[in-house]
Amino acid sequence: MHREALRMNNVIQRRGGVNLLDHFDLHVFEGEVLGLFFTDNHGKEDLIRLLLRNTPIDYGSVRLRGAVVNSYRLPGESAGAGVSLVSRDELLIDEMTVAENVFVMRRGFRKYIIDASLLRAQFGRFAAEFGATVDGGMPARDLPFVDRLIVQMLKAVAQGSRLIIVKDTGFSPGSAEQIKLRQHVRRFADSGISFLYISGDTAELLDVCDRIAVAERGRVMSAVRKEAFGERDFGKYYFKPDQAPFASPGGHAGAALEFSGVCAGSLRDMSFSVAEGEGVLLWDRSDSAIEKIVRLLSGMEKPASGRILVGGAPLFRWTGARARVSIIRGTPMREMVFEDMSYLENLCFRAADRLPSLWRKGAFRRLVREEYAALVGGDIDLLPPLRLSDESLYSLVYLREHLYRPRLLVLVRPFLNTDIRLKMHILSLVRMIRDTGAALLILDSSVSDSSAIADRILDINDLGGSEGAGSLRGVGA
Amino acid sequence: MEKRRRIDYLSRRFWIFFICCFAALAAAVTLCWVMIARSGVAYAAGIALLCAYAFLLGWAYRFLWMPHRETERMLSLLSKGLTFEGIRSLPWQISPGTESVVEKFGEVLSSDEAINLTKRQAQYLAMQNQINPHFLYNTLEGIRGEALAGGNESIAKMTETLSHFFRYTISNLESLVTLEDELRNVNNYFTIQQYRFGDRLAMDVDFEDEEDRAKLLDAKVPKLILQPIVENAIIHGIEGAPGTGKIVIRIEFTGERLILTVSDNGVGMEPEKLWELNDRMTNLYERYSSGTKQGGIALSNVNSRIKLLFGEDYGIHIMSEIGTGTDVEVTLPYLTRYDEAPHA
Repeated sequence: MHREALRMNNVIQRRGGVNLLDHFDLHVFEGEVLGLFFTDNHGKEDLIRLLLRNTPIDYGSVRLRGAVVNSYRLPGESAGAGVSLVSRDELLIDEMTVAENVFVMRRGFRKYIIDASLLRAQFGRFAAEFGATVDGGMPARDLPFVDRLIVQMLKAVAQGSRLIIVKDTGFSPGSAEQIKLRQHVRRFADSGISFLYISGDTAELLDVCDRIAVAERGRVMSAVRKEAFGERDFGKYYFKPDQAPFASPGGHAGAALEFSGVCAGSLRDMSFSVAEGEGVLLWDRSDSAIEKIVRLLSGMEKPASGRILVGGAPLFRWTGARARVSIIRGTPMREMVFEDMSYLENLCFRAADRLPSLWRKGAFRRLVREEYAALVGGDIDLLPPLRLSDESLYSLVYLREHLYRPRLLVLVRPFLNTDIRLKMHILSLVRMIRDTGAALLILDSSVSDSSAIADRILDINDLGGSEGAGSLRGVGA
Repeated sequence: MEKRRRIDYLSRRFWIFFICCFAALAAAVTLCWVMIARSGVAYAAGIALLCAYAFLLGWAYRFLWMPHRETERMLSLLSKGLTFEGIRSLPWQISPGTESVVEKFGEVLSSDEAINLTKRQAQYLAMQNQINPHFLYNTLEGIRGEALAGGNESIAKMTETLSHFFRYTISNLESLVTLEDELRNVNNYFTIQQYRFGDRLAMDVDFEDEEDRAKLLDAKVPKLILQPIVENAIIHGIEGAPGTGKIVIRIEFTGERLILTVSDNGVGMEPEKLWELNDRMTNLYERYSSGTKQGGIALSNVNSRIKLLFGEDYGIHIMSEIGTGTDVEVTLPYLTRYDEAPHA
């Protein structure tokens, strides 16, 4: 007998006349790891919100361990008990220890005086139950990314959750981090915890899950059991871009970016370079250095030692926009758009750094409008661009850089949380920017998608003293 | 039908009337307030008046507006064919007249007549002909006797299987049978089909937990729910696919529910077709239609009977992928022989 941890029965959720979830049927057994793959991301965030917060539904019912927690007959929103989310965006409090994050930062904690050593001892016993070897006294900020996810899972169990949603870890299938996460997920599942494992990478799901459900347009279209994984063609869900090599204007003459013996935080004597017009993927398996590199390149932090050269000159000698380094982060696209500005103003925003008269001269903006209207259609006249679809939003953010013509474009996890359609769209946008001669530095913990836009892959662990560069096919590709 | 103006709806007129009353009341309260203030009577009287007005507003929101909104929502679901239980389970009704209409409507929808209608459709779908059962059994027995006399064991066996299959399908008229009977009938049907397909067809019955096997075989399920699904899998899935067609019936038990999944490795379905079929499974009015639409009639019929017997929480969900196969998942309540059969 397998008891059901979750049963969603014919759930319909509508917003603004659109069915976000359309007769969504799903069940997860206790101790099961159910993979959920969205071919189009339609309803993905809404499903997570629904399970975490019991948002109102228009039809159907949701049961947790047999009890109805949400139904079209029960109006109103309530805090969902028994479901937790583990994801890249779920933060632990960096200044607190791991044990404090797990035991103190939870609902219902009432103590006023905290005995740190007792807490650590309790955490040690608790973590050991699930085979976790994290030091409870360690500050959360020092945890490698995979351990942060494991601590989030421990925290979820400590809060009483019996169903954990794991969303888009971004690990490369087969990497040490992914293997470690899988081992822990299995360990938790063996103790009766259920998982809804949502990922855009079917290879990751095949590796971790007991069953995989495929959803499209907000409805579960098929489900495959582990024993039938081999019989189903998951290859069609892989991101298979046209592998034609990028044209690299300038023939990699000089270095657009050069790190020389850079030390900062966990970076030790890091050296590598990106040639003009070249695309380099910096593969950070443990996801521990990406944020530090972003801080260095955005000028928020200076290296303790070593040099960072952009276009042959030190990065910190450049003032303002003259460095022409642009950074685009993967997921928070909406945060990269100014909601009180029109689409056209958003588009011109970066380019105005190089051409201040863009704001004064309407003729310039009209030219921009004419050129980009051919690419984005009617969106260009939107005012303000609040209701853009994901695809249009990505277009705006990338085309802004296309207009700006950066010397170096840094993409941080560009394909995180995207479906195949969006991946292909991003690929075409990146191609357009590279055609302008921009060098590309991709920072990602997974090579499976990002390798499609890189000429070379550098494993960050190999970048000790020397560059240790592998060719695109040489390292993990 | 000509589109009505909003004012033509009685509820709209009521709301306008209420709003006018509240506006008049607000004016009266304000007037009283001013008079109280001028006459120098204690402010407490004025505050009490305002409180009474606020209470009245709150009451109207809680007990008039919210029920009205909820009723409209349930009626909208009913008009889309999603639910009737929603409108029936509301703790209020518009008037005694509408209440009796809803009750009557509910009786019609869930009556034994409706169940019998779908049961008859099931039998019709299984038989495709209204043949006199006794005449059929006698004929089959005759053929079997002749075959045995002629030494043709294969034809005798086939005839016997066919006879058992028809006997189960048309003679036994109760709503619920044991899962064991249902599986035996499916096996009979499969044996008959094997004479046609030979080694190209295989079937497995897989209990998720072997320890539960005996208990589950004794569980009560609606009659003729598995055979139409297996038939569909063979005709629409396996027949057109190359290689050996395999059907797996997986039986899972959650403590409260039985989940029966019939999987085939046939040609699968286009997403649009799958979408349409699942829409039909969830539509209330499909349960009472004559079944004139092409395709999926058998599945629709099985689904209708399950929903009529056990309610909205149970039924069929179809999952499919073109080129790889189809899974039909049937969710039923777990009933033992001692549980009372609904509408039986």
